[in-house]
This record gives sequence, structure tokens and C-alpha cells, in this order.
Amino acid sequence: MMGKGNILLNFIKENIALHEIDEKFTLDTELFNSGIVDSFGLLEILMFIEEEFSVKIESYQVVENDSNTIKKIIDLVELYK
Amino acid sequence: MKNLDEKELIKRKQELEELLISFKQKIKILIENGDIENAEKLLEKYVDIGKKDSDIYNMQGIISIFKRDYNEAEKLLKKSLSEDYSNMDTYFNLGFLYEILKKVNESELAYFLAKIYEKQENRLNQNNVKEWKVVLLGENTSDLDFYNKFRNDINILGILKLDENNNLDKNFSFFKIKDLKLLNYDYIILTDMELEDYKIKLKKLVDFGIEENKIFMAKNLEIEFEIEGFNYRISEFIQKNKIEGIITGLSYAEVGINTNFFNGEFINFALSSQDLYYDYKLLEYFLKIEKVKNNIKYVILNLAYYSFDFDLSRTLERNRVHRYYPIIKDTHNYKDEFRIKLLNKMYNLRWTNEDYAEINNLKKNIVMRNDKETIQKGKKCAIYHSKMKSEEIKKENLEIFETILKLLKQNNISPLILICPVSKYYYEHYDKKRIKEFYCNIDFYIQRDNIKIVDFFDSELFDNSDFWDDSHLNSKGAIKLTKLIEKEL
Repeated sequence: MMGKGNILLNFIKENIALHEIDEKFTLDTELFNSGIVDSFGLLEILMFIEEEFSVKIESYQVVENDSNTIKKIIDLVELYK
Repeated sequence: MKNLDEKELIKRKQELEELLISFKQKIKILIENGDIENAEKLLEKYVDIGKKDSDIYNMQGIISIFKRDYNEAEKLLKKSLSEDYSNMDTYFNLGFLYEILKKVNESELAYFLAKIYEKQENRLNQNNVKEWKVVLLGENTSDLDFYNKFRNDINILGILKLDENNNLDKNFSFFKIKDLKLLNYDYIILTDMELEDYKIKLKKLVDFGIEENKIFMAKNLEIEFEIEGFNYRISEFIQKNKIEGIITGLSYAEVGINTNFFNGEFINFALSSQDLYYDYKLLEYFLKIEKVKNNIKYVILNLAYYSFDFDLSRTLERNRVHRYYPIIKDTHNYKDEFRIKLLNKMYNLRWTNEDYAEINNLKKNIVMRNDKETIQKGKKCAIYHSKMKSEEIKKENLEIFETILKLLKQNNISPLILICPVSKYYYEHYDKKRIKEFYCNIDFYIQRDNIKIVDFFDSELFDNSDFWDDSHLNSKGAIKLTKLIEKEL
């Protein structure tokens, strides 16, 4: 079964990424400063998380916790579960 | 024969220009030496042959300061800025004049602009407050590059060397890692830009027992900056003799209002992504200034339906609070003041007021295209803004809004709340429930304080030719909107 991180990774790859992402795109890739995800994308990620994992996270919680990678976002998901 | 005349003419023009430059230099020297009488005589001669420019008005302004004719000095210095609003010397002298007149805030604004336009001279540096004591650590020349960029802004104690065999430049203080135990510092700044280099150094420092929150990555300063209008507006503000109206709010009013079409003297402090907190901070700051306090009649608060759910300092764009830092000195909910201060310095090294003016002019002259891209962007933005919702942020913003109203009441002002028009590509996709919620939030204040609200959001008075993008007016639209607001005031 696919872990939460990989589910989110696939969602970002297929729906959010602002530009082509290469094979190096992993759970540890910087999402925001790298230009892969903008504020619109962040909102979509959070809506996906709410729907998929039934966890509500606000965008400022991602920003203020410096959750700038998929791995760190999943840590937040676990924290607020 | 004609060619010869032209050559001769060019030669004479050059000679005259050189003469005028040397005249200016002489006047400057006389002023610097306090020989005001002769400086004034020479200035009179200069005006006979040369055109009065920003430098000349500036020098006349200084002479008036010496003669204690402060009203005339202010007029002349402002005239100098109207000729060249980037004249660093004039801002410096205006700052000095306001200091004499005990106009503390105006003096601060003028010095702030002088610093921005400061080129070679370092005369303001002695006034810099160096709140943070830092130690640099980096490879090659990255530490020295950082030192050169920030030495006037922070207190750089010295450079940390992990390799003890390094050849050390005697111009700097160098520390070994063990010295850190005894050193009183706030941050260690890792200046390497290569990820691998600073990862190694970070590990060494952490292994040595240094807390990670004491370590700052210079790489964090390498961001794409949005061009900000704050400094430009301060420059406009300085040049005005009185302010009868202030506009605050977001980008919709920043580009959507053309203050030249108001009857009174207005200043537009609506800025891209500005939230209610900074609306309040700006009003609080400017309402203390005499030329505002004594003349203010109108405050236009531009709001968006999502304003109560928006806090710039808690978004991905939070770095943008740097633009206020030199004046407002408050980073709201983004508590990394150190980073914000350095970001502001980086910004001012990269972008100027001229860049802002240029990009603004460009937007003003564009007419929105009715293509797929614009339609999609409008839809995307409207959906995004409709979904911005946070109870925690709303609670704080309603308190801020109440504080704004209280502040305005103390100044006998009833604000005009303005919702700017957006194109159909945006308003057709905005969640109507969210608009209702906005009115539910604001109705209490409108009823209680009898506040006027004008809502042009989906107004039929505007069509596609009035916009430059899906939700922002162009020059034609801005004139139309300003005239409509004027009728409401």
C-alpha cells in the first residue's frame, strides 16, 4: 500500500507542479522556494489532505512550521490527526 | 560649413556644461565650509547662465536652512525633489531640516529615502542602529561578500574559521570555534551558497553544541523579490505639503485609484497584498504627522471580500512584510525580524523606485486580453480567494478593524469602505456565500458607526477595456473609478 507521502507526491506531480519535475523530486524536495508550488497550489494540497486523510490543516500552519517538503507536511498531518 | 558649425556648437555646449559643473562644485565647497554669503553670490551667477535643476534647488534649500528661513528651505528642497525624486542629498537635507523643526516622523521618512538613494557616501552609517551581533562562517569569498553587503546594517563581530591553518587577513577579527563559548553574539551566519558546503558547516556547529536557532543561512536571502511600491509612495508623500486623504488597502486600489483625479491632496498607500494590520500601522504612523493630522478629511479603506481572512505575515508571501520594516519596524506574526531586516537590505540593493514606476506604468497602459489564459487566471484567483478562510485570522482582523475605526474616530474621520471592481472573469467565479459572510462581518460596524461602503465588485459601469488583468484596473478604469469615488466623498 502506498504511504501518505507518496500519495501526496503523486498528487503534486500530476495536479499542482508549476513546472516539469524531474526524477529527483522526492519527499524531501523544497516545494515553495523552488517554485514547484505557489500559494494557490498550497491551498489545493491542503484541500486534498482534508479529503484524502481527513485532517484539516490551515495554510499558515504549513508556513509557520516551515513545512516546506512533502515529508514535513506529512509530519504535520500526523500531528493534527 | 554646416558640419563645422555643428561641431563648434557641440564644443561650446560641452564647455558650458563643464563650466556649470565646476560652478556647482565650487558652490558645494563653499556651503560645506560654511561660507554662505559667497555660496549665495555664486548661486546667483549660476542661475544667470544655467538652468535651475534639482541640485541647485537643493543648494538654495541648504542656504535657506543656514539663514533659518525654514519655510523657504522646505519649499526649495521639495522643488528639488520634484525635479529629481531620487536626489539623495536633498532627502538628507530635508531629514536634517525636519530634525531642526522637531518633525520626528517626517525626518525619519526623509532619512529613510536618503539611505535608499545613498550611493558612494557613507555619512548616514554612523546613525545606523546595529541591533544584532553576528559572526560569519563561509568558504572562499562568500563571507567577505556578505561582510561588504551588510557591514552597515548589522554588527559583524568577525569571521569564524573552522580550518585553523587558514591564511588570515589581518583586516578582520577571526575566531576559532572554541572562541564561541566566550563570545557574546546573536547569530552565526553561514554564507555559503552551495547546499553541501553549508550542510557540513551546520553539522559541525550543531555537533559543537550550538543551538540551530542561532544559525542563519544567508541562502535564505536568495529569493525572488516582488517589486514593492512602499518606498515610492513614501517619496510621493515627502513631496506633498498637505494630505487631505489617505487610501489604504490592496493592489486593487493601488492601481485602481489615480489620486490626480481627486479634488484634494491624496496619498495612495494601498499596496499589493497589504492586509488590515498594515493598513492600521500605516494610518497610525501617518496620522501622527502634522501635514496629515491638520488637514486630513478622508480615509478610503479598500477591502476585498477575503480581507478578514488574510494576514500577509502568515502566508507564503510573508517575506513581503520587509517593505514596511524600516519605517513601521514591525513584522506582525512573522517573528523572524533578523531575516526581514536583511531581506529589506537585499531588496533595496536590487530594486529602485524607478523600477516600480516603470512596471506600474506598463500595467496602466495594458488592456486585458480576452484569451483563454486570462479567463483561466480569473477563475483560479476567484476560487483561491473564495477559499481563504481562517477563524483564527478572522478573529484578529476583526479586532484590528475595530482599532482602525477607533483611530479614525479619534481623528474625526468617517472612512469610506471601497470594494474595487473586478472583471467578469473573476467575479463570475467568486463564491457568493463568501460575499454574504463578508457583509455579515462588516454590517455591525457599518450600522454602528454609520460608515459608507461603496461596492463596485461586479459593477456594470466597468467593462473589459477598463482592466489590465482579470481583477485590476488599467489607467482608463482607474480614472473612471476615482471619479466615481470623488462623488461619494
